[in-house]
Amino acid sequence: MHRILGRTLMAVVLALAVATTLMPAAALAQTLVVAQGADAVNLDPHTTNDQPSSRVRRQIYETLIVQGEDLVLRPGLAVSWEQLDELTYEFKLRQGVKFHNGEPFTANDVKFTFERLLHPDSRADAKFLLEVIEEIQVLDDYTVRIKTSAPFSPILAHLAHPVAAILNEKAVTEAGDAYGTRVAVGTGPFKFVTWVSQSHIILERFNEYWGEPAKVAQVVIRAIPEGTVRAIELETGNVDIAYDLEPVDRMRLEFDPNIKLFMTESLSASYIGFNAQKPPFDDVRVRQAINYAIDVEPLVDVIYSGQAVQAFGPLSPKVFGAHTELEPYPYDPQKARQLLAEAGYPNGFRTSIWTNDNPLRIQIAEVLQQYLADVGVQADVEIVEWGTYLANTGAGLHDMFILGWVTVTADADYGLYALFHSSQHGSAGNRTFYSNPRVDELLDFARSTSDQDARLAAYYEVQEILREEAPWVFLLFQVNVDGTRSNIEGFTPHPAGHHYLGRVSKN
Amino acid sequence: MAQFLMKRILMLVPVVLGVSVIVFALLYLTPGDPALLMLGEQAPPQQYQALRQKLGLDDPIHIQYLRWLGRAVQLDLGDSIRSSRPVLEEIVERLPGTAELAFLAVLLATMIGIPAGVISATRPNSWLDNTLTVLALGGVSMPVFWQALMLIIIFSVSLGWLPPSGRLGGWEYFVLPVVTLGTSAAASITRMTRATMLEAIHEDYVRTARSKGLDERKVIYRHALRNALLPVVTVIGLEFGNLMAGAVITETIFAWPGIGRLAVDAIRTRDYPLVQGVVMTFAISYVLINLLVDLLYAYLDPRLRVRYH
Repeated sequence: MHRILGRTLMAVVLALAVATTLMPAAALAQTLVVAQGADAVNLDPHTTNDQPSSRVRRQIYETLIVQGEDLVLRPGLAVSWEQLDELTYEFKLRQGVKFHNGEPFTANDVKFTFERLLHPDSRADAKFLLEVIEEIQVLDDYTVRIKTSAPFSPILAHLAHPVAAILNEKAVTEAGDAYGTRVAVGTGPFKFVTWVSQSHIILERFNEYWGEPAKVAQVVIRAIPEGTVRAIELETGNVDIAYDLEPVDRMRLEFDPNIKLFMTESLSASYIGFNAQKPPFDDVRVRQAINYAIDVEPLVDVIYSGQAVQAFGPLSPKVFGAHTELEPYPYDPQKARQLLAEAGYPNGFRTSIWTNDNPLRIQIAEVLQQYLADVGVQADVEIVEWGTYLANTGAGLHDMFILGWVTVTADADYGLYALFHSSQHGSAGNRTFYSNPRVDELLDFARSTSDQDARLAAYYEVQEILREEAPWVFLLFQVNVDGTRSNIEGFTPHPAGHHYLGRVSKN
Repeated sequence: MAQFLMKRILMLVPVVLGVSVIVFALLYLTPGDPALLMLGEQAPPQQYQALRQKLGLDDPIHIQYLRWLGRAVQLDLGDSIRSSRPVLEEIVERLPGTAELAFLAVLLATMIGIPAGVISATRPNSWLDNTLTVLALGGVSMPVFWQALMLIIIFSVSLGWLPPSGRLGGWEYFVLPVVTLGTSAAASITRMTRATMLEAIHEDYVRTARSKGLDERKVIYRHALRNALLPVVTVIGLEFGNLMAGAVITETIFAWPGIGRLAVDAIRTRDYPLVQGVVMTFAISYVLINLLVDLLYAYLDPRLRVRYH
């Protein structure tokens, strides 16, 4: 027995010794450690479109046009652009830019990148964002023309989306299957070094970066799935920046002098949708009545513990084209009863509210049930399994439902067209089956003109119509919470969540 | 022995096949269209069609199963929908993380459990025995996530001795997850050892050994424990299997790279090829550990070998 014990002890010591020598030495002085809730999936932008991957890619790659934290479009790898006709844009490219593998950046890389993205075999999640591109013409090393198949003015915002990051042909071809997991080459301020799956990714400052060089020498991006543990890592100083803090942890960290918290309105909106083709919701008065029957503000405050604000429309205020002066429906149960009576339901009716198993949505549905009962509407809350939920709301089998939408391009077209255009009924996005010829006309027009003021006017009108005709109850815009140690300078969260680390320094 | 081994290995085939049927059926037992499920609410229709085609969802189920099985036999478990990488590659990358955690946890559990069980059994109903019994009961019934958070709060936040999570450096990163994972196993092993030792101590051969005038330590360790250990080995094997598949919570809380987290991520994002691959891996590792335990059993107990001949 003593022998067995002795041997096991030795085995433990050996195992630990081996484990110790295998680890890279992390957390050096000039190293910025960042924690997010999940590991990246793939660093090839032409694969998945998940947030954790985008956050890493943002440091490695660059796009022709950059959408900064203020969501304004600025020159990136393109120094200027011009619309030649309805379908054609010409881009002048930045000179003297190098990829991390030493290759110079030229127009051929742009052509290669978009042709790879749009190739029929491409599996890129976000391919649809650029599918309107028909042809890429290289005029010379630093001039590129992009032709679209239809007039599509939001193209500039789409070109600023992370999926439009420019790749290097040589790097991609040489790496083959290893591209995106063991190799990732861009023109950004940091170059990819190593990736320990589900643990961390190490990036290093790219010394030949064309712009202002990164302030820290190394970035370690860790995956820490538990929100509380992420907060504890920040508290104990093992992590410099922690993304997506949860309400319970945020309330504790607010009082910690060593920590700075950042609250950012995101691009996501949540809503209650009606099936506008199915009685009684085909009557606009019923939809308005329900809008009057719900006191949205306290509902959002209580359920989201301050990590969301009441929505005034379908678009988060950060989105280009959001009509920030829309008045939310006031809470007026009397008016609601009156409208229901006018619509022929003086004693209310029986209906259902669908939600998936998201705990916050279930809570919303339950509070909603109470408000509706007050005006005589009996609503059953049905928690529907996600697959069935998507399929059945897509097929129009629902009465009322709760869903959300993220306007990833921060342009109104993305946040309105799929959701309200009558050509998009069902799974394409318009799950309320709402139709209005004027809305269609305005949305089509805003897509085709590049006159930004005309676009704004069209979007404002659409949003005013939507408020009036009420296919949705506008619920909330989510607020993201990120935290840094107090010695971290230069961190500005991006509303889309893919925060840029090139300007961040550690004192 | 070779014949015994062959027999046991052949018996694995139907088990693994059965598991494969269940694993494959997972895709169809869940309601809703799998392709729609994987893509979510913001996917355009053309992407949905492309995925259906890629997954071969338009063929009859039995054809899909046979095609999947045919590839699985050649170690091709398909590609992950999310990462576009081969499922096998994803699994092989994560398996060592879980294996090392499970191995160290079982080792720790054994090193604590067997001596504690022996001490308890040799002093039944003493205060020491009672204390150990209470501790073991606590260890079995403590929820893992609670214990993990408590350990983090005590040893990382208050005392600052150990890092709260990750696998970034040396031994200090192993302590909390290994202790968390090993606690319940240690408790089971303690209780099993105590029970079988109590029985063994009252056997005739122990009385004979004592009456020969043998030293009490020799009586306990050489005669009683050797016989009492057989059922304990089974428990250790089962615990090892459980830990391989059940380290999900520990891995998640401690941000430990392992196959449990891969499973959770795969299920959360409805990445079916990956879910199938991970569940297959769990099943096969469980079956293999059981095979090992059986072999060890035969080695420890000569009577078993004879019986199989």
